[in-house]
Amino acid sequence: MTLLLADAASGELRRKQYRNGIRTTLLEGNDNNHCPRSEDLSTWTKSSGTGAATGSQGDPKGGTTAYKLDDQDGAVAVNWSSPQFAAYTGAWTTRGFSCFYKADTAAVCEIGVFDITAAVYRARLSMTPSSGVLVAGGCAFTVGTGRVVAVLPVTAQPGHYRVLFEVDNIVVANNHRFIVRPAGPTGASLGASILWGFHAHNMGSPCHAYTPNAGASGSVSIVNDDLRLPWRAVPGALTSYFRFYDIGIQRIASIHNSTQRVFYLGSVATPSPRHYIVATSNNIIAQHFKADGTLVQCVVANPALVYGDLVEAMSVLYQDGSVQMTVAINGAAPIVGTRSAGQVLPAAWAADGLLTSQEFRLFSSQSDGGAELERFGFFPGTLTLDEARLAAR
Amino acid sequence: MPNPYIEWTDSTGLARLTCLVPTLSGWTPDVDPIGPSEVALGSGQTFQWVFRTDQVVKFTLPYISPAQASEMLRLKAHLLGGGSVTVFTGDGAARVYTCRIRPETVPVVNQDPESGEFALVLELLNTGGTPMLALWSPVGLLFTPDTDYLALGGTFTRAQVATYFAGP
Repeated sequence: MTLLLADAASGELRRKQYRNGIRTTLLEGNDNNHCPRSEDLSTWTKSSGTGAATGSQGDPKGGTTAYKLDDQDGAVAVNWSSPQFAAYTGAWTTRGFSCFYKADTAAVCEIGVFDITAAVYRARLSMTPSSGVLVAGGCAFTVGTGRVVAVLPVTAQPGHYRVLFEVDNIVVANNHRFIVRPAGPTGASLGASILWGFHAHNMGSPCHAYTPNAGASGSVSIVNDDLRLPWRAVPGALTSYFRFYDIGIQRIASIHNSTQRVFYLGSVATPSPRHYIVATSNNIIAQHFKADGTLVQCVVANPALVYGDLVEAMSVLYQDGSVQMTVAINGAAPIVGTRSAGQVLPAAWAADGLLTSQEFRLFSSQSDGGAELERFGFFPGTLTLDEARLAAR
Repeated sequence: MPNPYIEWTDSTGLARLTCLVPTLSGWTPDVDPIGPSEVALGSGQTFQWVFRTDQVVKFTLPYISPAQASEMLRLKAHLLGGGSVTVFTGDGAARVYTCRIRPETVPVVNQDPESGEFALVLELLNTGGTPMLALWSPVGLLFTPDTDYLALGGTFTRAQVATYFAGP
């Protein structure tokens, strides 16, 4: 997968997303950038030792606002410290981080997440490019535990990469900052790395949207994507088919949210959505609520999604009100849940308030994570997965 | 929300022709400013003396069963006679229009040779003078990244400054 960076105005659907050459729409949850001066590295504090921060370097957006951080000291590992992050919210102890990186003369570059209060590193991520090319396998934690979520090359600006990673064991009440060693932690090492666009995400996994934080302190918030369309379906057999690339639903759900709805019909509150797909920590579930709150559901357990998986999620609402969930990952044999018991559909959805808001929404209630939606469709009747695939061509 | 239907009152009384599916096919609104139009020889600019502006629509009422054929022909005759009808679109906003036939058009009756069902192609003029818009739900529809969600009546919340667009 490759990326290019572009601006999106408020309210603009990001429909130019591509993955593996397939056009997608990026939908993800809310987040924050807690790292002040996220692009202006001239304001970051350099440690003792000889080094220079040189601006006007080519950046991933095609501008010249990146910085070359150059360790020119053969005795100590010169580092640069960001301003203190804004305070975290939420109790979860895994947080997401990201930055842009381009190899220069240094053989290795290190990004540290430093706990100011406890005076310890929560993580030190070593990035080792090969001939200027950085891949996930070239990144490793030398201190702390976490995961490299993705290393995404920027299409329009060759050599630039966005590195997204998660760090565990963050003490959320403490203060933190980035500490960057452009030539790695070895004192004798010399060399420069080009860096830009740091992001200390509030959420447990880094969102893919990049939002600068130009302030001297505080954070910039990113609201969640919330796609809604009017809905006036007559109650009856209905097949809902979604095809998307997973970029974190299950991982985030396992951290702090148990109800990541892929889509739903009706309003936000339970049980107002009368039919929806929900992705929990380990399961993908189709549910059908009655107006009195009773529900029937079909669970596909442990689909074992990993970042970048192509997920096909199909729920079938039968005429008797039963539901059945089918999940296929990367085109492999589908996992079919056991069809639920029936539950009578009302005679008219609008008339008896089955759908309180007469709309459907996508990915609107998740806290973070998300998906790159490739296509989705609603089809009258009960379709097999192959039939839904044909209908969704 | 009931399916779309057309209602009118003629010399026989109140009548209704109901669409068997939730959407009217090929709903295409248009506007027709009525009046002489000339193009200036020197500048090439178009000038028009507009006496009125017709807000019109063309659509098909599909899947009319043979049992409803008499109502269908009654509707055609009513329109050709200058009568008005009420179109209940049954769209997401429950739009309703009072219409007459679009001048110089004739309703066209088609029949499916296999099913025997009829389809009535109509061009109507909104007597209310407003654009004839209708947006139906996505049931049975497919959405891709190229779908114009806003045109469908959707909303999309995003307040970020910058994002990634990936390239193939």
